[in-house]
Amino acid sequence: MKIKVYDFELERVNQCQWLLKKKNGKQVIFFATESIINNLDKDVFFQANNVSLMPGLAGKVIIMPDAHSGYGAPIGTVFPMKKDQGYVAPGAVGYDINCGMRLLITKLMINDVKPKIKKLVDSLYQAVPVGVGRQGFLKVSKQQLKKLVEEGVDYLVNSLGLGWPEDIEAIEEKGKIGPASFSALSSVAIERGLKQLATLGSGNHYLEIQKVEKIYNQALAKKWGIEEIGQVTVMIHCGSRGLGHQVCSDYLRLFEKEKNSIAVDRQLVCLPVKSSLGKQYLLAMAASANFAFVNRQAITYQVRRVFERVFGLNQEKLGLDLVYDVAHNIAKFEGKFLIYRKGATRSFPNQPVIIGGSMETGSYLLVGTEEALKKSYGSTAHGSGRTMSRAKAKRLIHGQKLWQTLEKKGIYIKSASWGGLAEEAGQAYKNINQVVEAVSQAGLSRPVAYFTPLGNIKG
Amino acid sequence: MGLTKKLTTITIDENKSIADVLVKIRTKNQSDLIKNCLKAFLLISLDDNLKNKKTVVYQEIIKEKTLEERVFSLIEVLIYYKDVKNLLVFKVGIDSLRNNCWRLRFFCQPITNQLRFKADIKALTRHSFSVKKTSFGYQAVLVFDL
Repeated sequence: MKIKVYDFELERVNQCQWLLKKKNGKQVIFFATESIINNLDKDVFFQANNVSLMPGLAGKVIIMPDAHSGYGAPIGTVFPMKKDQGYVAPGAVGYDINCGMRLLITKLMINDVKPKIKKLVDSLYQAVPVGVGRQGFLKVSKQQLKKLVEEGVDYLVNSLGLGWPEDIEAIEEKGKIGPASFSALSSVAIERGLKQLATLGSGNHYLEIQKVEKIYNQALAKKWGIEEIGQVTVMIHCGSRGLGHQVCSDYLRLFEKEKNSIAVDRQLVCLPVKSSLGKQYLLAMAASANFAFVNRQAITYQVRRVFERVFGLNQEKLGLDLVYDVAHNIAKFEGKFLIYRKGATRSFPNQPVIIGGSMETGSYLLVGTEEALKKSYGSTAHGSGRTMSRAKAKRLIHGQKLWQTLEKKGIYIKSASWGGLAEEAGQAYKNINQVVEAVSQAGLSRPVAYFTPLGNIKG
Repeated sequence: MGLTKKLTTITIDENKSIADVLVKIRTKNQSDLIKNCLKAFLLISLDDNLKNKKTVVYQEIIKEKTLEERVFSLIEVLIYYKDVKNLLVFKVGIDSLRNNCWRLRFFCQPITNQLRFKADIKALTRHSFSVKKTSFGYQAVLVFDL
């Protein structure tokens, strides 16, 4: 069966897999149901096509069901580059390097938390800065920042004492992507990092208190600390803040100035992996990724302190163990390839996968599969995926009214701005259930548990 | 399509792409181009008008070979002031625009709780980015990452 979407002819491989064959022999695979495919925005197809034209590609370009158009490459893209003859493209990683998700599990139940949800959310809002201009609790010197971006979470936990040694084991790449180099960062990137460490930021970033709503895989859920329905969890979504954005901006500019750079699209400008600037970017990108891991770990430290204060319980009774921390926007050497994941999650066999939804719907914990290794370079979706621009959402949705509606539903939100709230409304996103159903049917990851929000702080 | 707000020669297109804000600026001269880049930045960032109580002034020299790169550097300065100095630039004074070099004065106000932000501009992307000299003056297309 073939369907035509925006002049692109797609061949149906199965219920959740579509193939776009290119004349140059390259292939783009869409993992999506027919309904999702038909509702993807036009630029997803054009941008996916551009990615497939990049030099040095080592295989298929994968598009996830939560895809939407981005800059250069769609959000929700995975592709492999040849390890030695491949190309480095900062725009294919994206601006918010290692924007990612982290899930903590408490020993508290909904009945423990519900009466104190406002106090809890208000306290978290004070302890974890959101929005523009607020600085984090963690002030570090340049020397310490160097250690943090080069050594990752290990330095934060073992030298600065912000976290538990077992946290490190529950982070993708153990919270350190290497080699990373502080000297590959510009002075502006460093200054932005120093100011914004331990902050949540704005846009779609959030810290959410949730409860377990459904358990799909009892055995695995139990192994990861999820015992029963109604148990309270905490989800953190944020990235490398201004430091990562600056790295992307700096290197895109530098790459453009290089004579031998290739640009299928201006945002996808690339240089050989072996080039001096290509190597330099990978060092800076790894430093940014480590900054993001550290940022989420520092926020976790604050979350644990706030829970202790609000509930008057010690860590033993609170739990707040780290289930997992995954990166979204990253390029990493895995096996034979340099794998790019832009708005996609690593999904290795038996690895926890976190897919965050909007503050109105819910989020999923899944498990990675062997099939993902074969079909999508060990990757799956990362979220619900936008269906409308931030500006359009702000025009159509009234932030304050949304806040009231959510409060009536029992979801208490603390946001830096009404506009910021409106742009993250549920209707600005795809239905997360459909996204999870698609990745599950495609075999890229399988659901373990489903969480619904109780409270949320956002920028 | 997608035209929501017009302020002199600034157009914000909200439907161009899902994840970003695209701005088109048409001006008669480089001075207006600089001023309208700042206007667009403020229009996207702020929820209400500035309450201009305390002003700090900084001088900056922006030197780049192309006009496009000078505009890019100008936006980078605005982001740097916001993120690092915790200052919002609300006015730009133009001292000279010669030899690929802009000498500018930035009038800034400290970012406090009183300033209501509706969006945080994190980067000017290279996506669709262009600044051209045209028959009527200058035209710029800027896509901001929020």
